[in-house]
Amino acid sequence: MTNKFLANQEIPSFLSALAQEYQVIAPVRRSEVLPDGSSRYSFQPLNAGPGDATGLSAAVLDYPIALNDPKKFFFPAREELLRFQRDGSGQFGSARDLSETIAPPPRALVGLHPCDVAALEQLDLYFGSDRIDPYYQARRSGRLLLVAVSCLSPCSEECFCASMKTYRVDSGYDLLLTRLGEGFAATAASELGDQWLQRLTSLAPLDADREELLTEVFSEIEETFAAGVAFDAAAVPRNLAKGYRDPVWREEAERCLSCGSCNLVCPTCYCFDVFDEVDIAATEGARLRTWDGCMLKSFAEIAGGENFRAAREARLRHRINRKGSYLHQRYGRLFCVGCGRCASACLVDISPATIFRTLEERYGH
Amino acid sequence: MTDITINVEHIARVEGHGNVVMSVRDGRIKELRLEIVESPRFFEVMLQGRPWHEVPHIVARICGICAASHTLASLRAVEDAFKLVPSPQTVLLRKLLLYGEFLQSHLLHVYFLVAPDFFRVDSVIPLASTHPEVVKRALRMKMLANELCAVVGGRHIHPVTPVPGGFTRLNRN
Amino acid sequence: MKPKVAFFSFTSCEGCQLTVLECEDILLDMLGQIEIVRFREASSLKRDDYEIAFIEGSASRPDDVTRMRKIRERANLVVAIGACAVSGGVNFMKNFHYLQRTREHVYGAQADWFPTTQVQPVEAVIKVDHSVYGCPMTKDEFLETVKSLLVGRTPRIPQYPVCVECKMAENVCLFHRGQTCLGPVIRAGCQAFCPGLGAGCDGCRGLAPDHNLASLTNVLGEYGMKPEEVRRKLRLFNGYIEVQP
Repeated sequence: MTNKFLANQEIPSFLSALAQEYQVIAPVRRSEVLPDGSSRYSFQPLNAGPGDATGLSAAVLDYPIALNDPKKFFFPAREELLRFQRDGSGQFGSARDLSETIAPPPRALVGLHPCDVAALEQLDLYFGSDRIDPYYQARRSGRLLLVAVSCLSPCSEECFCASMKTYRVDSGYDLLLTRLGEGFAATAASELGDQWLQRLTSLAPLDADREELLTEVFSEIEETFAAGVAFDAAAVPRNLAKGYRDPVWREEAERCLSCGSCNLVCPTCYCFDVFDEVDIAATEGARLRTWDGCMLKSFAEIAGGENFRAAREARLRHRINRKGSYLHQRYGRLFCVGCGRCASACLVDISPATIFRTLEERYGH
Repeated sequence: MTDITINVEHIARVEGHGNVVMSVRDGRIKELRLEIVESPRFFEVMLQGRPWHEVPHIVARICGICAASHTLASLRAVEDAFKLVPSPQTVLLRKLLLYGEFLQSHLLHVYFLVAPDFFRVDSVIPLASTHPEVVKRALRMKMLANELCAVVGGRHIHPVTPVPGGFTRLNRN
Repeated sequence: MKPKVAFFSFTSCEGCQLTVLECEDILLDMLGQIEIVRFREASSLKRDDYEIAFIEGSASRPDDVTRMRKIRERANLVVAIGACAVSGGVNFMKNFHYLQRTREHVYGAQADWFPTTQVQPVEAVIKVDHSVYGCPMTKDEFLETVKSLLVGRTPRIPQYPVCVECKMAENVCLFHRGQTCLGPVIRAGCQAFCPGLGAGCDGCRGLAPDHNLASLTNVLGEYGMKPEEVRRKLRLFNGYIEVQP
């Protein structure tokens, strides 16, 4: 596989080259300034034209974390599934499945962090293994280039990728950019990534000094994150099973706002609600789906008003068990990448990491 | 000789509530009254004890049709109290919001409230069948006026973005 | 047969009636599906044979209660539209002041010319079948309600709080910006309109059914708001919750 050096001054031409063939999507800085002077970032499609605020130059490759992960480009917050209309007899007859009409432009997602890559792989499992979701697949299987960026240190106090071992991933992307002083080491991780690096002839190959430096950076990454391990991820499913009736659920859920923020910002949450909308004359309509969240009381409510998880405590326990136990049983891996978005979004500081650690302290021996 | 008394309760197609009472004797108007029967709201009291930054949001609710005007008037009052002078850009944008509201209000008045009288119909609804192009044009113009208000103020009815000193942000939606 | 529909206005700014007229792009299509027999702001027709009554505003004058009861007798369905009708809205702030002193403060010696009562939302006077929330109500939720009534299903109105829509829109949380917001306890359905424009939620759509106000009060405390200030902030649109049965 090819390795090259992407100097800072080469980044614009690198993005322009990608923009020749793809719609470039990258993190951009949001205009809001936080009290400590920092900013938030979000993945946005960028205009290929130079200069303007939504152009390629707005892409930021050194950034802590994006508000939402790139899931939204494959599984949008709201989408139409099918359209239907009344036929001649007045019945809602013909329905047109829209999965066949989904044709996103070729897209280059630039700036994914390792946890984002890991999350996308988990979504692939859910939407593509025991049940195939044609809407997700139509977007996911389109022409796509994934350019990841290495994390050199934890991005926030809430992130726990060190414990989840998602601070570095070896696959699931095409190119990896790793900060090396005045530029990035660009390493290919797929054939497509390799082709791109070979095509970018203006980029110098990674020389021996930089190769060595890169190896050092990777071992520094290992050291930095090893120091931040807060719990044993491998023991999470077992501890959750033992702690099913632990008071931690009540203790934590008491202050839960049931606002669903943790679900909505989670890169591995995939639950959705499906409903129909009709026009005012009720002659035609569409079936839509929107993101939903298991922390919302209405989530497990069924006809007649019965609710399987009416209590906050039950909902919190369910959510954490989904991430750390139930899906582990189905897919053999944890459905959490430790990005900490849920904990950052939570106004009352509820974090899976705290719960995993608490249960480990109580049941880990 | 006949006496006639006319009592129109809650006049239709006006902004706000009013009655017309008229008594006629021997062909001459003896009494003609316009009664304003608007429900008193007591905003002057509702505002007591509220923080200054809520004032524009509260007084906008005096009237949904001219909410922008009430918002802008109260912004001036709050800024006067703080001896705050808004920037020329803020003043211009506020004027734009006000003109959007003028447009919206005049279009509502002419096409929805007054025109039906000239055509001797109850409302604009029958005009939609007899003069569809004119009514559609009126709706398009009203939509444009609303959008003008929405760009500057967030929305026409009870604007959100104008605050003492300027705006929260531009409405990019 | 098109259902016969009437609009009634009580103590309010009439902004929700105006919202109906602001459904410009769909107004004519809507008129093809319903027959409006009474809509004072837009029509001089005054028929009483309506099946669905949309009521805007609160009761706050001596004869309002009688008028509302008469509407209830005639209509099969009563829909409260907008905060004033649903929960009293801003009008309800008046109830936290002495009535007679309030009248004298505003109208002085003519106070008796302006009869007024304690403000009551529609549900405090008559049975309400459906509510369209917000100040003003949103066009989308009004249309969703009309469409649902036309096809005979329950309108799809969110039970969850504003945060859901704020996160879907990928807004930067106002709390993270050092500001405060009632969004975590307020019913969504506005597409997080105010937070999206950089203004904290004032709660015009009322408390979400599953709110945790006690917990949010603690959060707001960390942002320098005392519990009585939280209550005062809620009184802007939700004073009714303090007396609601």
